[in-house]
Amino acid sequence: MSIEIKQISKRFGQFQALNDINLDIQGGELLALLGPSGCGKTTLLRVIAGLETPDAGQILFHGEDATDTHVRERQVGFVFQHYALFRHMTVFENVAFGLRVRPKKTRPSEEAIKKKVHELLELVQLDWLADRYPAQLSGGQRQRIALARALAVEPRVLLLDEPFGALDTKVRKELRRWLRRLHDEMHITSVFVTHDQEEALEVADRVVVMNKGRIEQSGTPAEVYDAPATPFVYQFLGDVNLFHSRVHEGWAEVGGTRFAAPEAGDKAVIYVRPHEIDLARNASNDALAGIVTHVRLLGATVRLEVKTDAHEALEVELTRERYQAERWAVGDAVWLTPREARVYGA
Amino acid sequence: MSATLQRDGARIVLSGRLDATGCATIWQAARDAASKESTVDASDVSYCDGIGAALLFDLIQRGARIEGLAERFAPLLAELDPDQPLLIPETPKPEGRLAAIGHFAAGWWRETRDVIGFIGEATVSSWAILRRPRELRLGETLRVAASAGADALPIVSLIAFLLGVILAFQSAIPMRQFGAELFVANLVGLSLVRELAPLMTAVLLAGRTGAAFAAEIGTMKVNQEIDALTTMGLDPMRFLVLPRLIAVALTAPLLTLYAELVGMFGAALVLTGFDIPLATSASQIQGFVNLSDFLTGLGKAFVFGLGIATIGCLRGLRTGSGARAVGASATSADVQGIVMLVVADGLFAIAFYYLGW
Repeated sequence: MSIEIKQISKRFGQFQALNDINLDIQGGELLALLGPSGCGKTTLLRVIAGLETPDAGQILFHGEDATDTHVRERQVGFVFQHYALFRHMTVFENVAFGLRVRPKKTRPSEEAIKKKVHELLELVQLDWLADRYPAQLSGGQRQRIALARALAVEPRVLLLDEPFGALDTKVRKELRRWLRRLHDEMHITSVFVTHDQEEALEVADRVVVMNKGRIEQSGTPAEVYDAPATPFVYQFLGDVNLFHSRVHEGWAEVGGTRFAAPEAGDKAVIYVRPHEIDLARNASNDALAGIVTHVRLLGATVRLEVKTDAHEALEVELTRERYQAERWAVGDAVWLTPREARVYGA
Repeated sequence: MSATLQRDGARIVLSGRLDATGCATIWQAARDAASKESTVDASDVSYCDGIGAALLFDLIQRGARIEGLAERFAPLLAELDPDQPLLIPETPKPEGRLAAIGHFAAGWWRETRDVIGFIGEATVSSWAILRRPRELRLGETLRVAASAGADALPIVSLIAFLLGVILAFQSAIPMRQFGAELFVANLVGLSLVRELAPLMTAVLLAGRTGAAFAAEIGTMKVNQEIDALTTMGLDPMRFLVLPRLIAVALTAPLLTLYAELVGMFGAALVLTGFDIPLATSASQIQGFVNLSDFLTGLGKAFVFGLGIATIGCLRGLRTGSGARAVGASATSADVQGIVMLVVADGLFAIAFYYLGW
């Protein structure tokens, strides 16, 4: 089912949580709302669910106006960051709950409920936990149960609010791949909120980057990462080094390297990702001179902090092999050349 | 040589060394003298360092114009960009008494509107349940009734019994002076039935049950379970609040009835010490306390119970976020519940007086 969001705004007292949001969500799409905390992404999700009413604007579900439709008629499945499982019910009862509380006319038979719940528990690979209570489960298990509970009511839309936010890194990675596979099987329109750019880029069909209640950019993970529309998006999607430069005849300069700056005015800000900088031991005219001040080993990659004259500290990332081959150490003199950069007007 | 300041109408003449010592002596005077019209003649300044520049900056910010500052000091001042208006964040004024009263009244009015809205919503939901009684969650209602009612019996027994004993003792001593010990039973019976049993039971309910509701529902709210219920199409009002309202509104009169009996028994027990047998006390009370006394007491208990449950549930649903919010909700449910009881009891007293009940 497709969702259209038209000019939605929402204020909480003085705080403008959503500012004129327009967004189309295709049927069967897995969409990520990505942004820093307080950017309005959770509010937008709650507005879609019907848990918050917008101050202005319209929401269409499958072309029909659903702005004033009550939550219970929207048929959404909602997965909460902290699971929100009912503590006094077993896993089975939790999943069955949405079906059991239906009015008699639409309620399936007890037999059918049992079958459905076991199917769902198998789908989330936790059938063997049916008789446990939520408190006896690990975080990852709880979140999968919460997902099963949300799917039990056969929602038209699945909404996930930072579903993996409270889990540790390894479980997160596993679960997000699992979510992706699940979505490929079920093809239910899904929107999930996250502040983790890696998660959004890995899982989603489309990423919507939000900041201060507005949408900064919307596109496929590749589009958003390779062609960030604004400096904010660029900065949010990974670590960056910042350079300021004057623009001469459409060219901005870092050290001696020139980058085209067609849209920038007088001054430009140049963003360079840490892994897009080359290191050399030999001096050259068009490189920035610096001194290595820190070496941090991050597993497969190594990150060097380099102090240069003009800038406080630049970060350079290189593979472990290169690091070992070139044997960088604290105090070494180094010359830097950016390979790639992105230039924005200042 | 230190700095000096001379005033000549709107002209302020500065001379000497504008350094830390020099500036300290003239700073206050210069500040007082500087205004929008004044010009500062700085041609006799022989030395000016950062502090001197700061003083000149301050004077410029106050609207004064600087004239004749030697060229070698000018860059120091220019660096401060003194014509740029300084961004001084306005310190919020401490609010006046009137504003404080206004804020308080607005807050109070907001709360009241919230309560009225909640009562309205509850009324609408109860009406819907009255028409389709099957939608009431009977199991949940009974569970709440058991925990609010049956589980409260020990403490209600204790308090009611002691209440009867104390009342009987306190009134028996002066009454004996008039040889009227017999009428202690009448007095205790009437005050228990009309006033004390409903009130004491309700206070216990507010502490035990009202606060528990706020904590229970508040925890669900903090854990987003309420949101989860809502997305599954369940109205928290019907699903959580109504069973609690009904359970407590029905349990409170029952508990009150029980408290009355225990209290009277306690009083009668004391009176046996004054050579009045139990049977005599019983017949005294029977002859004196009539049905309308009894019913007004139970009616009060019903209203008190409803009020306590309403406040408990409302505070629970309005819980903010974070674990601390749950504690705050439970406390405020308790306090508001007891305040509500006292106020409602006062209103009842006035109403019954005029109605002659």
